[in-house]
Amino acid sequence: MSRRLSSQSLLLLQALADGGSHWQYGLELARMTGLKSGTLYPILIRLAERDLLESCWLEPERSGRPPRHAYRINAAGRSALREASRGSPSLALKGAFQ
Amino acid sequence: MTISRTVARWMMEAVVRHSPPARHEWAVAMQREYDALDRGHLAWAAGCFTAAARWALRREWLYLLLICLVPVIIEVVPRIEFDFLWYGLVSRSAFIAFEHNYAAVIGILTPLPLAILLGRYRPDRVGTTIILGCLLAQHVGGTLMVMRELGGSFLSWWAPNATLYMMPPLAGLLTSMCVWYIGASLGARMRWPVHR
Repeated sequence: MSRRLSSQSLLLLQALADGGSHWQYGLELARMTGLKSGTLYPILIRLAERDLLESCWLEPERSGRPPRHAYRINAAGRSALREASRGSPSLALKGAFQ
Repeated sequence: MTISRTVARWMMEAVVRHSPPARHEWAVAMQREYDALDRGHLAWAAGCFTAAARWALRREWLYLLLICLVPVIIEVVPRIEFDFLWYGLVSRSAFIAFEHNYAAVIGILTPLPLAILLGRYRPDRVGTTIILGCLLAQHVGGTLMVMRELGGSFLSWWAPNATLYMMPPLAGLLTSMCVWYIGASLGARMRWPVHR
């Protein structure tokens, strides 16, 4: 049985879900969630290891810049978010307004 | 470049350079985001550095714990040695006299098995084992323990007639480091399995 997702993990999954199928960078996720880099990346790593999100290196919009790592939620992540929101009224309420 | 940006850059370089192989891609990802920042570089770098430090601690905690135990083990082993090895063979007074006469040799050689064990456990850290184990743990830590029991200070190392293992302190320290080097190198070359 996998561990319950923390509130910060769910916050991050919700931010990824809000982005739909668009890839999002770490900086964007940090701004949306308010998570600091030292918290954000361990959570991203845990979610990636649990296959709740996808990641890839995206070529930058501006030439001459190196690729950046981007993330988006996958079906398993959406399912985990739905499962968690069943037990969390605040999450369920957020989902109702989407 | 300001001081804070310089410090932030050093931190990010350390994160990428010292990340474990399984986390290297993520460390590079953190750095690429750092490069894309307009402001807040120090905060971002500090967060990444903290995350990387936690990775390192998760990987190295047992090694660091063993290093911290060096002065304790060196202090405890001679005390229990009589009870387990020599009891019934020699009298306690004869054992104490032997220890007193050969204290220097015993003091230098006691950490050898520990150095071998640490060298085997972390064969990629022989240099670090010598510095942390010999210098910091055995001598600084050991001095602190003696100070707690008997008083005195680190200045006693530089007193006119100070000796270490019946040699001038620097010679004693170098001899001890040689023993640690031999032990850690031997351990690094051994083939018995260590599960990590």
